[in-house]
Amino acid sequence: MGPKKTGQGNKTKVSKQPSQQNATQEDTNQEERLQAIVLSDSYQTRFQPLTLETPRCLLPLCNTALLEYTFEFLALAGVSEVIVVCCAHADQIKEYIAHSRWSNPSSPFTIETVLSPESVSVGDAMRDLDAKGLITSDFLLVSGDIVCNVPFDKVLAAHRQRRAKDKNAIMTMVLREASPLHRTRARAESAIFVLDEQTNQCVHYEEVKTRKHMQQISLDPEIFNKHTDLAIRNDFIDCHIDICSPDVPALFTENFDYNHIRKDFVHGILTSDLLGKTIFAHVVTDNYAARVRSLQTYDAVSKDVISRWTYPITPDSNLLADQTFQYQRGHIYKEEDIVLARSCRINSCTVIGAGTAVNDGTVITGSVIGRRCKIGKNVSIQSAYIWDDVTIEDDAIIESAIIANGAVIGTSSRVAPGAIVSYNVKIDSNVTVDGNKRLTRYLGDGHKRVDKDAVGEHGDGYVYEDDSEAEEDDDYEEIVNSSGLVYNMASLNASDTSFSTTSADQMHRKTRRRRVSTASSNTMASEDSDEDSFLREAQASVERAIAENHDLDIAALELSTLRMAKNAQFHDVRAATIAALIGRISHLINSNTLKARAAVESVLNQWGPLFRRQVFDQADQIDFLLLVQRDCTRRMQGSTILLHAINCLYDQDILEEESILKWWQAPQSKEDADMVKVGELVPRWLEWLTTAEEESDSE
Amino acid sequence: MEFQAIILCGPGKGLEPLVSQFLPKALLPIANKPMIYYALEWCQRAGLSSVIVACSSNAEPPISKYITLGYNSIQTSKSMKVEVFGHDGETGSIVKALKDKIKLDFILLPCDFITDLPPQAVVDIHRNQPLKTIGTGIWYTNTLDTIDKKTLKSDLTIHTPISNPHPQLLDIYHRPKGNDQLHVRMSMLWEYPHATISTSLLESHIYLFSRKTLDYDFGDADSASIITATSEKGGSGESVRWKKPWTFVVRDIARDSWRHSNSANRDTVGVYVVAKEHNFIRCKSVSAYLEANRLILKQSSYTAPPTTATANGAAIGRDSLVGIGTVMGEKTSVKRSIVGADCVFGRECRLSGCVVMDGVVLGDGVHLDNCIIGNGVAIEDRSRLVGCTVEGRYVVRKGTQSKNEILRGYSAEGLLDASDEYEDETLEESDEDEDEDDDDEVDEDALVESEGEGIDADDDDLFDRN
Repeated sequence: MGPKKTGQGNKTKVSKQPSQQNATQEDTNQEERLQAIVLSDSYQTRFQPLTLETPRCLLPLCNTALLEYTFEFLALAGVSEVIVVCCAHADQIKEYIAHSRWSNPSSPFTIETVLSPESVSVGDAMRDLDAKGLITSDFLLVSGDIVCNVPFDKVLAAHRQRRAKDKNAIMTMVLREASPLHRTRARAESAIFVLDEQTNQCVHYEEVKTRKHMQQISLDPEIFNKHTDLAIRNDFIDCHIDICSPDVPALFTENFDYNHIRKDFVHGILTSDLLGKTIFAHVVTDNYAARVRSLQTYDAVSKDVISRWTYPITPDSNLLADQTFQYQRGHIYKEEDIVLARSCRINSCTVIGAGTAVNDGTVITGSVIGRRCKIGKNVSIQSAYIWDDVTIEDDAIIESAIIANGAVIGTSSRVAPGAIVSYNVKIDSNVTVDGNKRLTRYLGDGHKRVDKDAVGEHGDGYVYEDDSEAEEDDDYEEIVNSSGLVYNMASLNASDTSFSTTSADQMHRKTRRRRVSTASSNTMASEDSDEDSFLREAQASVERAIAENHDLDIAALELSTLRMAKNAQFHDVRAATIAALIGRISHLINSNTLKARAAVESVLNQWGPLFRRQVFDQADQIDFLLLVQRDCTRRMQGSTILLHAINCLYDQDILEEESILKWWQAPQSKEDADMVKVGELVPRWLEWLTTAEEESDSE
Repeated sequence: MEFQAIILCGPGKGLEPLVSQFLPKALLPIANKPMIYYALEWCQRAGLSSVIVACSSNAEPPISKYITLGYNSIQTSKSMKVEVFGHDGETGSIVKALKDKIKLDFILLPCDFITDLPPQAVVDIHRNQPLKTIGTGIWYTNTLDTIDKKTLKSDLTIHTPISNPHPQLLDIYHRPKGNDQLHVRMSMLWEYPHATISTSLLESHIYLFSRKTLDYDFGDADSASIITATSEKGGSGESVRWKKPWTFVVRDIARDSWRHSNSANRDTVGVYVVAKEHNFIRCKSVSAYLEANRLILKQSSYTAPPTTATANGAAIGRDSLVGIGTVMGEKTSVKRSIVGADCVFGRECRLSGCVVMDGVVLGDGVHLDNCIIGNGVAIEDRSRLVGCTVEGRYVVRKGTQSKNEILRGYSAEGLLDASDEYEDETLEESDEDEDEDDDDEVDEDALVESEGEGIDADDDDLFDRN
């Protein structure tokens, strides 16, 4: 059983600290149950069109589904409870798990699938998990596409030791050391980590944008006062294998704009002065860890598995019950029941699945061939990934391409390096598929399409174009250029001058909403600017705080985090808060719940103090009043609300008398008819104010 | 021996008021011997045959005098040739100016270091460096708590990990001021993906460099012309790259090791950090100077010569050193102190942890604790000084009680900046003209230059040399 390993770990720990036996006893009970969260979705589109029909975690890598490698790693790590978060293609994943050996009684861990169909990012999934309350202790967070043979007991022990000392050490990232241009280092997602040399505390995280002519990284001077020696590392492969405390999902909930686990969450935690949480790294030097997150890494990891870097996770360890791979010299793996013609040549680094037949004169080099494939005569296959039930007719040439299940490649056709032929696509004879083409037969919108140019006269399939991505994602070019199966190394040179420059407007970072692996075209067009999105999100934040009756401090913290994240002005924060609060007041009045005055008082007495952190000097107060006035112009009973709001905030000392008078004198407060109309009740109040003042003076 | 030494004698602004135009830092006594003696002695132990002492032109006469009349007469073996070279300018240009005199690889030394690190160890480190390492710099970490932290200005030294077999220097930055961010170049991180930023390393200013460094032209004409254009004038055959403190010359060589993408010019600079078990002190501040005196007393190789003082009833501790011709009054006690020659101490004086230079006169009942007393100072009866520094020839009046003060006279220099000699800011500004040694001051040009490069993304041909 898996937990055994952890159990032993605890035993030694207990004996080390006999004085705290009672305390650790309780921990031990918790520690025995190590939870793992597997995010089956990658929230990316790099594997499209393949992932239109199959989730990424079920794509075969060396004839075994990716998810299988992840589970194998979790079993080695001593995990006792696995929660798989499913999003796209949840039914397929559930089905796969139900029929896998991990659902057997002999499985080292219990397995549970959780549906999170709404989530479009890691952040959403974490918030969902937090809401469901499934996480009870420190857990292992992985995606469903990792290949890793790192012994985990040491990592876990180090993490727990840190946690015991400091509850704020909420996360340990497992990072593998490699050269900066290592093939399993995803181009689009490599990053620079700055770690404390002694403690491995991560103090800075910065994504590397190879396309954006990134010349330098900027470090906060504060870190030099806190740490003596800092390692800047550009040589880590980050597989997103993290040990997280239950605080992590909670923090995602608190900071609802965190989507990405690294560039939002880690970056956010490290740059936040308010939270005081720390993140550590565990550097792995002599084991294998990689994540299949682009076609380029798919290729690299496949090669690593074949050349046994991932031992004991290799094809001949037959991860699946029905597999019968045997190792032969030169990294050739063959299953039983293969028909090989006498004159065909199987070169080194090749995997061939059961039931496949290879005909005369065919040469296969450094490739993976699935099960039940029919490969004709004089075919040349090099560095290609051919999945199950593929038919390749005579004289075809396939180089560095992925051919998915059921595809047919016609006689004398050629598939150029980098191409993807998705499920059941049929390529006619004498057709050349270009390297940048991705062919599919997926009928997303119900219309059958055939591009005769691409697949030939009798072919079936069309060229998949990833158009939704182009509009939404500013990293589009980067992803296209770096996610291809064949990566052109020449375009990535280590010198900072040889990075090709890109247009400056790419620096502008939009709010990111990546579509899940479905090709629906009804994606939300997020054309709005940062400012608008801030207003919207901030308003939503306050509205939610009111609706869910949050603590005032939490609401304020959320707002200020959001403000910092979006680099927004206080003016915008005020505008958003006012819109939310007056909206609430107006709602109370319109629904006849309360009378105007009572509504204003009930909302502002509770939430008015929010403005204390938004309104500072007189100019702010005047600006604030103008915003309130403007907002009231579009409400029913606006003038009443305005009057009571001013009165209420004056009583709370948020507004000063002088500011109110200045505001009333300012021309902006009467700039149009609406503004004048909504302010009709103000003079009387001002009159009262001045007389009250005089009275108090005369006393 | 394949090395020649250059000893750089700086002005020692941090040691005011102890140093003056009459007493340059190099001649300030540590344990009754001029500071430069220790640097020369170190060279001697290294087995060097030629040493050049470089100093500013107005410090040249007294230093020459000491070398010819003082040091050469006590040199244990006459095999080492010592030459004094007066030259005003940045340390980089001094080294460049010495080009014709340097025939061998050279060791660059400050005049103000006291260490128990054997010279042979340093030389061996450089000998064992790989071929492409053109030079090696020595850094140290402060092991003594008694040295005022404020005076130890550590820069941010970026290097490959010290655990590597041959750690390399990659870059040096000043600590960012205020909220300025530190910008680390990506090109460095592609070339050296694992770099370490050390915040605690202090520059020993001991550098061992190959002779060919002097012919170093910092890349090709391209970069030179860009720099010339932005700088005052680059002509006369000497690259402007040399017209800066030596540390920055070294930093530029280090930067060149990763800035050129395909250049054959890949010379690197090695880093060696003095192990914690060795002491290393640079007398750059008064507290460090005091500590250096104590370190000499502790070192077994510098056993105190038998005291010749006339001690009638005075108690001189074994941990103290007293110079020739000093006379002490009855019941006077001296502990953990160094007393110079020809002093006259009255009765019932108590000294502990002090450095007293030559010709000092103490009245009766004077108590001194952790003080530095300059040449020819007179301290009258019953004065009590704790942690004070007294400038040469100052007269401390009867019954003065002072703690942690600087007592200085009305010399012309004193009038100018009598009050703020301990403030770093002032030091940095006043050092600009003649800065031979305290060269880790702000090099504005260098900072501006690196930022400029960062912003100017289109300036591709700056480093593109195929």
